Amino acid sequence: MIYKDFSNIDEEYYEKRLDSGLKVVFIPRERFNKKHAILSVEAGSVDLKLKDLNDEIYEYPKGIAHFMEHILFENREGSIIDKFSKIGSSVNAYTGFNNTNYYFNTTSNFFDSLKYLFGFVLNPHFDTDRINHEKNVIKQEINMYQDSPNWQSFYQLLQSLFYKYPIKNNIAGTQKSIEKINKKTLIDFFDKFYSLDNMTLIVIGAINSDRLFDWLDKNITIKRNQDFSYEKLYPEEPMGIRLEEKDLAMSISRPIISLGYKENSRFENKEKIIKQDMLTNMILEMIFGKSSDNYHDLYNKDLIDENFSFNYMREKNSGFAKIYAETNSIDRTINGITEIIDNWEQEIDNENFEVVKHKFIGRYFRSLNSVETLSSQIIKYLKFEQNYLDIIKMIKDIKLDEVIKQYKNLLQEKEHVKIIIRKVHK
Amino acid sequence: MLKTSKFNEYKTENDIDVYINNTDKFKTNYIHLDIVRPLSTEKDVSKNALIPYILYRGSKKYPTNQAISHRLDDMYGADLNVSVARRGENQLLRFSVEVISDKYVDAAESLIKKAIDFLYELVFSPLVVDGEFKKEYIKKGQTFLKEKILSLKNDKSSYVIERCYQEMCKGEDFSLYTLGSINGLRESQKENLYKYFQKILLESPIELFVIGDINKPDDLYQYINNKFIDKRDKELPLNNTFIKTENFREKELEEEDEITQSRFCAGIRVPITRSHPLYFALIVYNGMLGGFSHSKLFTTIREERGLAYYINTRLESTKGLILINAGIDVVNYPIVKEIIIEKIEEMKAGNFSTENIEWTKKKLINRYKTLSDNNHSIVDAFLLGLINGKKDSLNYVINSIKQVKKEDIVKVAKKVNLTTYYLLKPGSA
Repeated sequence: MIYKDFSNIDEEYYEKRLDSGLKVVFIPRERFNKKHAILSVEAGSVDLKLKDLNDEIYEYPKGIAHFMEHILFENREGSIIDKFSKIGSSVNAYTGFNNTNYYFNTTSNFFDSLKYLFGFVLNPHFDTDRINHEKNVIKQEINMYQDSPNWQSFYQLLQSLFYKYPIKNNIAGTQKSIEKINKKTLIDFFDKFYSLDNMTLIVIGAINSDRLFDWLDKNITIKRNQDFSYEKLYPEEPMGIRLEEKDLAMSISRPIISLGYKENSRFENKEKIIKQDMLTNMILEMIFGKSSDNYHDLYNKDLIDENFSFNYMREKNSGFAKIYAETNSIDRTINGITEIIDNWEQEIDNENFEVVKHKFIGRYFRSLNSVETLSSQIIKYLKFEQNYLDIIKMIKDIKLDEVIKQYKNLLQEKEHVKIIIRKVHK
Repeated sequence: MLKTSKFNEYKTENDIDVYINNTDKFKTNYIHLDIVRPLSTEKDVSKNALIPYILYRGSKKYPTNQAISHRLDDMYGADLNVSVARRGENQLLRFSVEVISDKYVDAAESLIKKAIDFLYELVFSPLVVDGEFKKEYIKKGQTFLKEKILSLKNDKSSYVIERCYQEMCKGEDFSLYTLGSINGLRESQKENLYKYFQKILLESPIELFVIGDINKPDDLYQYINNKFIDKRDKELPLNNTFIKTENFREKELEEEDEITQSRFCAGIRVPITRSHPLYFALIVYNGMLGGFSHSKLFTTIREERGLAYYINTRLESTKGLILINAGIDVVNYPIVKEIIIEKIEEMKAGNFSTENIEWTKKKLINRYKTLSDNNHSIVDAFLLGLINGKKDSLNYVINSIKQVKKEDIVKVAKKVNLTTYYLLKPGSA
């Protein structure tokens, strides 16, 4: 058991890998009514191919991880949601690029809820009628996203940035790909990915730590597929962007643009990867943050407004920066943004950098107020063997020359994707 | 035991209501100020909505938005939010600042006091040129608001909800959109907005909330009292909402848009608000009908029949409205509508399970308890109580929900009037 006392931020941290292979993190929150647990399975939308020890290959249809999330919510005992409701807890789940997360919130009945959580995630019931029913629900879900301009601009950006890497796929799959999902593919996917050593449990709340770990040791004992013995395979992603520009039209009030810069640096060091995530987000804040001259230049020229946003997303095999704006002057806004990016080097200064560090520390404290934000950040950092409760140090340690290096590597005069969504002409 | 803390209540010499909640639950201090206006005319609503977005551009001491941002940077990246909201027939002009608790920073001065100074500066000391807000900032505010009003259409779900409210409350103030209208904005250009704002500051209820690790609430109140020195002459009430109790007319409307999935919204009138003895039964009723995933509508329409990706109900507790909101395939519209009518009738007939009541109560209690784990929600819930003249403690709310009986729910069900059906379906925009 690992125990850490982060007295500088009034947090405590417990971590343990159980005999069953499950990794558990517990963060006490004595003053909160809410008790929160999230079971994160390392099977996300990018996980479509595996290789076993005998080099046999397994492939799955796009959208299967998300489909699994839906299907687990109904088993032999009926609706899982009802089951939690009966004891006053709420349960939900979401599928991301790299994992599927099942979680509940409760104010009482924590251990019953925990039992139910493991119960439904580990004991599926794959019924053909149910699978067909869920296909209809997911088709509706896919349609709903189609109509969202924000979602479209993000999806089209990924489609254009990447040639092969499956982050480019819709997490829910396509109308066509989910047709390929059936009982057999689901059973197979479940068997491979849903083993305890491919999962992490995060618990946050006013719970006694001894009682929690005793309970887990006693109740979570299934040892299937000890050592997740499959290699996850991903297609080799070529360097560079797939498409420079994509232009489409939707029923919206004014055009939307997004620009994407693809991360081409490749390395294995996990700490370096997550640090790159933080570092690049700091760079974007320095360039375009609300205190920057650049932001106000663009704003005063009516090229951007409060909807302007930017961020950098890094996961294990890919990364990209995205800049988003709503504007009536498409070309001038795009040129304005890219000019600022290309010429930013001369503006880099240490004072501004220190201010941005403070800003990130402020944001960090705000994030600690919400247990959901905290648990999702813990998961994100844990994947790279880092502790989210310890990142003030990481923020403070970032050096200006790292900023310059990453700026040159990702942004300065680099090729980029432009997604333009225009207004439909009546 | 419910882990919660209470607001200490104060009033400044200049008639600003101050509520301070001392708790070490959070790692930040959150300061929130609401100016409360009646939703009245298209023009006034538009003018009110402009105010926060003009003030946000610059004040006397921080004359540009960049200067404001720099000031926030100096407070460890404090978070500033300005917005406009509608609660019943009241329009709220909202300003808030959130800073790290003083104990986590080694700043020489207290961040919370700096944040209060800043908020005062932003709201009470705007940048004025020749007796009017700076022209450029008015123009920026107008452009921003115009785009925001137009962009409502981009988010189809929100658009449908707003349209449904507009149609069901036609002729009532509630049908005015929170952010005003393009017409109203045009009208507003003919007036001196700064003079109008001075009137707002003089006559409107102003509610100030502070929640966080505040050692001595009384001292902080004194600090606020000494800071907000502007003389006021409050004339307006905190709540201006009209509750319709009779003459309901049924209405069915369809619109087309370039979309793939249809959005459907049904509007219910129910003349029960917080001071009504059946208020807590109404909360339970709403939860049982469509508030949760074990509710009648969700289980039938989504779980059993797979007719929708989402379906839920929302309660507007100040005006007495429930909206049922769903994303559906257009061919399923008649059947979804039929099921909704059927389920509402079932509720009237008392045709629902004891389990549904019990689960709903448990979920509601769970929700109220967790609400007190979020500083923003605490303020929001407390404000709703103030507006409705019932500052019920969370403990009281929870106990009252526990005591709701089946016959109370049926009584609520019988007061429910389904009046409006609104469908947005694929076609040309």
